This record gives sequence, C-alpha cells and structure tokens, in this order.
Amino acid sequence: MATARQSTRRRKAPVRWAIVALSCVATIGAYRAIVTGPPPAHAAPPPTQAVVQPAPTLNEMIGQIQGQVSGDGTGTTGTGASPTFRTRGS
Amino acid sequence: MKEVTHRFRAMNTDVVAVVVTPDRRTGAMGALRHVEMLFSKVEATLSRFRVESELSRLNRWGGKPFAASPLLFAVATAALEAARVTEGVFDPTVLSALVAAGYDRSFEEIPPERADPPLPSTGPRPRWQDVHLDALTRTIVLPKGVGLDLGGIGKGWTVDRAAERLGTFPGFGIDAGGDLCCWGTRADGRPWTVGIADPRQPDRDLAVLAVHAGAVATSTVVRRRWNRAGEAQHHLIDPRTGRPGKTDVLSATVLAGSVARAETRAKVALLLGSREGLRFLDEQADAAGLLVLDDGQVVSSACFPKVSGAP
Repeated sequence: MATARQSTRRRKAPVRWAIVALSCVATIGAYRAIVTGPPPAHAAPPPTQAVVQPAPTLNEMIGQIQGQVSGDGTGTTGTGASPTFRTRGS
Repeated sequence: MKEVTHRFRAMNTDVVAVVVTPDRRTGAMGALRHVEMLFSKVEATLSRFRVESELSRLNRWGGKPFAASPLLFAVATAALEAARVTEGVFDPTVLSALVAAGYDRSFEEIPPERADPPLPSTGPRPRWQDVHLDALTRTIVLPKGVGLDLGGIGKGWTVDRAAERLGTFPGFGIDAGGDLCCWGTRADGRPWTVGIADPRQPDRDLAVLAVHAGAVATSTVVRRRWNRAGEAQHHLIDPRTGRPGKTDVLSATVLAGSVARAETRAKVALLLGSREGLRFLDEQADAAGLLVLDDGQVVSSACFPKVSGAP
C-alpha cells in the first residue's frame, strides 16, 4: 500500500512533466529567435484583412445614370439630391 | 446596417472614407484609422515636397542603384507600367519639366503670377524608358538629372490599397479629392452616387453616376493653374513637349477597375486632346471616359454609360 508521501509524488508527477514540456518549448522558441534573427526592416507585414476584389466589368460598375449630359454643353444637374461623392479633378 | 464615416486631410486634399457595417462599430473605426495611417505613410514616402521623403532621396541619388522600400518600389513599378501601356503619354519622369514650369513647391505656395522669364517652346524631355527597376534586389536606377513625380498615381494607388483593406465590409466608399472608389451599397441599400463636376461651373454636376463597384478619377487643367510671364501654365505636363499640355479638353473623367488606372487614363485622354483621347479611351477594354471640351461640348467614349433624361 502506498504511503502518503508516495501518493503525493504520484499526483505531482503530471504537473512536473507539464512544466518540463513547457520549458522545452520555450527554449526551442528562444533558440529559433536567436538563430533566425528579427524580420528584415523592409519586410512588409502580412495582410490581415486585405481583400482584393475581382476587377468588375464596366457594365457591372455603373448603374443608372442620373441627369443628362447634352451635346451643347449645357448639361443638367442630377436629381437634385447631392451625390455621395463628387469628382472634379485636382 | 450603419455607415461609419472618417474624414481627414492627406496629400494636400480632403479624404472621406465611409464603410457600411452592422451595429458593432469598433472594427469599422479601426479600419478607417488604418486607412488614414496608410495615406500618411504613403505621403511621407512619396511626397516630392518633403526633403526627407524616400522619393526625394531617390531623386537626389544621381544615377546609382537605390535600395527602395517595398512601397516606393511598388508605386514606381505601377508608374512605369502605366508609362509602358500608354506609350509614354503618361510619364512619371516629368519632375524636371514640372519644376521648370513653376510647380516647384506645394501648389498652395505657388504665386498666381510668377515673374520668371517665359518658358522656351520645349522643355526637359522625360525618359521613362531609361529608368531601371530590379525586382530581385528591389533597386531603382534613375538616369542622372532625372527625377520621378509620383503624386497623381501615388494617390490613386493609395486609394486602391485602402479599398483592399475595406473590402471585408458589405459596402464602402473612399474619396481622395475626387479620385474615388466605391463598392456595394449604402447602409439603406441605395447605391453610392458620384457627381461629375462641370469644370466651367464646379458647383454644378454634369451627371450623377450610380456606382456599384469601381473607380472614378478626373484630370483637369482648370484647377492647378498659374501665370508665368503672362502665359498660363498648369500641372499636366505633356511628355512629348516637356511643357504643360496644350489641349482642347478641359477635364477628363474616367471609370475603371482601379483608381490608379482611372487616374492615368484620364490624364492621357486629356493630354491627347478630344479626337485622339476618345480613340485612346475606346481602345481601353476596362475603362471609359467623358470629356468636357473648351468649346462647351461634352463627349464620351463608346463604352461610357449613356444617359437619357432625368428620372
């Protein structure tokens, strides 16, 4: 029959093994950091949420055109409501 | 759905970025602030008006290989590719010609009347074909005396990168001084709308486009103008003469799949003039444009969406 001391050692054994395993992992990680060094200064950070949309066709780009562009240059304004954005060159 | 808007100043222009998002807003503001930081970083790298910028250092490097950052190399690559596909009508090596014409400082610092002597009929010829890029070493070699101006394409490139960043949202719009990109719809399901300003009456719109997905950019000779020895100058250099372009086009608005492409095609169409400019736009598989001429006509390329009447 195991003594109280032996029972205590058996309960603590898994904890000891876990500590040893974690220590090994930490040591390996530190070693790799030393060997490989920091990332190059010019290395671009990996994109996190960048999404590259497929290029739309012209028909997919533009919906209904509001307003009228007349050949004599007078033109008209749009619906009266301000557009979200305006393009006028810079 | 809600719209979250962020406004800031960058590249000497007002920038507006809007995203459509579910009620949780924290991710939206983080993404929009990332966009602002992106603009700030690009400006710090590519501004020719900042002595300490990487572009300014490249332009002073004088014929030796220059180890470029990924950002500078990417934009320079895009600029030279645009020069190649436009056969040099778009040319980023116009810096000397720009400075010679009087655009030697940020535009708001240029006096409306410069007392410099008149310009000769031709100026420094750009030399995009003599610029060497090495993708393996990421180095740039400029011929001695040649400098790059990446202002226009740099802004368009930045909006395109910002659009990639915001592409996870159901809808977004980014407007950087009229070079803009939209995707999806607004929070209430309506489309993003873009007014094309009349260059002769800037408070009036010639037309309003409903944009589902894509980019719009406008080039014009009526905004950045100044006089030199009584002769009007503007900022759009014609590489064929090394001087501000003489053209019958007041403004060119182009729709394309990316802002950089729209911006470069708009500039080329304007410099080519109405006849060659429309022909150039008709040859573009992925772009269409509308030109406002100095005689009052408004003409468009074959693929530009037709408008008919007001709703």
